[in-house]
Amino acid sequence: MPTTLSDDLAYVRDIAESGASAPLLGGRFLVWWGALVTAAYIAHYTIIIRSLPPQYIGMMWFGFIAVALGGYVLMIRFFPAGKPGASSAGNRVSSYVWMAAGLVLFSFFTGVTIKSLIDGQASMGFSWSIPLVLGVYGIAQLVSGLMANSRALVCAGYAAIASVGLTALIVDRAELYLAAALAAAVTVLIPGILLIREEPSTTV
Amino acid sequence: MSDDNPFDHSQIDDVIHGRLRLGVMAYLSSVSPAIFGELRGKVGATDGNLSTHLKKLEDAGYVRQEKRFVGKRPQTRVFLTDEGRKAWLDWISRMRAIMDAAE
Repeated sequence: MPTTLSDDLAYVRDIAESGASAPLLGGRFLVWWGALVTAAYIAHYTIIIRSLPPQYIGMMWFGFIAVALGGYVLMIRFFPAGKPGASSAGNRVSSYVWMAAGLVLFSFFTGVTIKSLIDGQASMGFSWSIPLVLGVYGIAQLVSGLMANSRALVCAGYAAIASVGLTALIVDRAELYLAAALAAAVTVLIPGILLIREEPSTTV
Repeated sequence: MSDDNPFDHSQIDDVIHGRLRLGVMAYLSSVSPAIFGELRGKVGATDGNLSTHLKKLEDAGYVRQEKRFVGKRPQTRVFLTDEGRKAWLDWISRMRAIMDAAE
């Protein structure tokens, strides 16, 4: 059947749009970090309210870093190379913004850790890290969601940004860590699960 | 002069202006590189048909194919070249001119 110019243009538009709104492929990373961060904040809160020795907090966070980074490296190594849409604008922007987010947090925590070692006591920077972490999550999720037309990520981004102010209000209270755990679960872990469910199959 | 006539068929890039190749170029304009199987699924072609059309686009310098192994499985990735992006934008401009002139 002959096609018209309008048919061709409609076809081209559909194809181009399908590429522009390709599903994001970072769901497994969100689930990994979201689950671990949520668990770590709950553990931090538990140590405080049960008045356990403060050194447990440092041990717990060092364990967190070892497990989280080790698992992350393995996940990158074994990430399937045949996922459709991996080069879409949304996926590229999402990987760049999360890379920048990771560098910001690495720089901040390195500085705060060194400051704590010099002073011989935990820096207040650790408490203030929570609004910072949530702000970084918010920027990354919002930008990724807007680029990939993902309503779940956009909502997660706004929720994380709102929680920046809320956690700043309770920055000197133990409940800060409970709020942080809830925020990490809602804005990182759950969106990650949703992304995994939408992920396309591997192809060759 | 032919440039003044939007209906001049000789100004339409025949390499791009085939339905399947249009689909390939449209998808690569937003996702590049794309995996061969990903493209096949998007444009609804068979392996042989897609290969034939990719060859035409490659011969024109509009796409570049790169073969590699993922584990033990071969994988072909298709890139839109700079020349291909320029040709694609020219094609869109040409179609827009025709539509505008028709109105």
